[in-house]
Amino acid sequence: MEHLNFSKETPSDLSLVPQLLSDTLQEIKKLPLGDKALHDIKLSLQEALVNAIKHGSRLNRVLSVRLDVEARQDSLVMTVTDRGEGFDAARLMDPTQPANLQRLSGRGVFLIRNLMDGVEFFDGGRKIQMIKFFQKGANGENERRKKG
Amino acid sequence: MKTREEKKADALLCVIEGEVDINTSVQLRKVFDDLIKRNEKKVLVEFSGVEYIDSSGLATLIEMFQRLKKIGGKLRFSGMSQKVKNAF
Repeated sequence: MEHLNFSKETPSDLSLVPQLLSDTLQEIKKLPLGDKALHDIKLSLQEALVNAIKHGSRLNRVLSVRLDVEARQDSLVMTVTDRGEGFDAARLMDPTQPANLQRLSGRGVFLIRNLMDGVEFFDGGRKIQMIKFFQKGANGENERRKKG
Repeated sequence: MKTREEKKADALLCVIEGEVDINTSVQLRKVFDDLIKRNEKKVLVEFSGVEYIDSSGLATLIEMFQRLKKIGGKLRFSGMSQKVKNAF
């Protein structure tokens, strides 16, 4: 198993997200993850970073956002932490409800919850932890699914 | 992300290639703004060259759907990969 354990800190500037995402994915690609899992990880990590910068830091460049990435025995764990005011994840709208289908925002966390195997919020919503289990089967999909 | 247009008999075909995300959705919104200004009411978006879309890309599509609906138009999609469909 590839040893992977690193942290990165970025100013809250959306223009820095593509490079941070690209650098992080370069490392994550060394892990036993299929094409679909890598796509899910990229999208989830981007949504989490954008949420932290836009809604957590409110685009205040001075407030940094931290990313922790750790490969465990059976999974990849990514944690994004901001220094904002936090929020109640339980009160997020469900974008699949008819009344919300045409709303232009509020899909980021919903996407993350559907693409990752586990999602948890800590510290009043300032920290999101996302888990993806490594590829076990020959069909390129993760065998273990544990929806957050 | 790249876009190109083709005038079809009953619709305007808008072909998108690349990634539709927080960095490129502004560019896509400008393309859609232009279609609205030109009074294109039936728009078919070809997605087979798109492998990645995030929530800001989805919001851009929903916004265009709403704008076209308001003027009696229609927005249709074709060629979506499973990865892109999963985001909807």
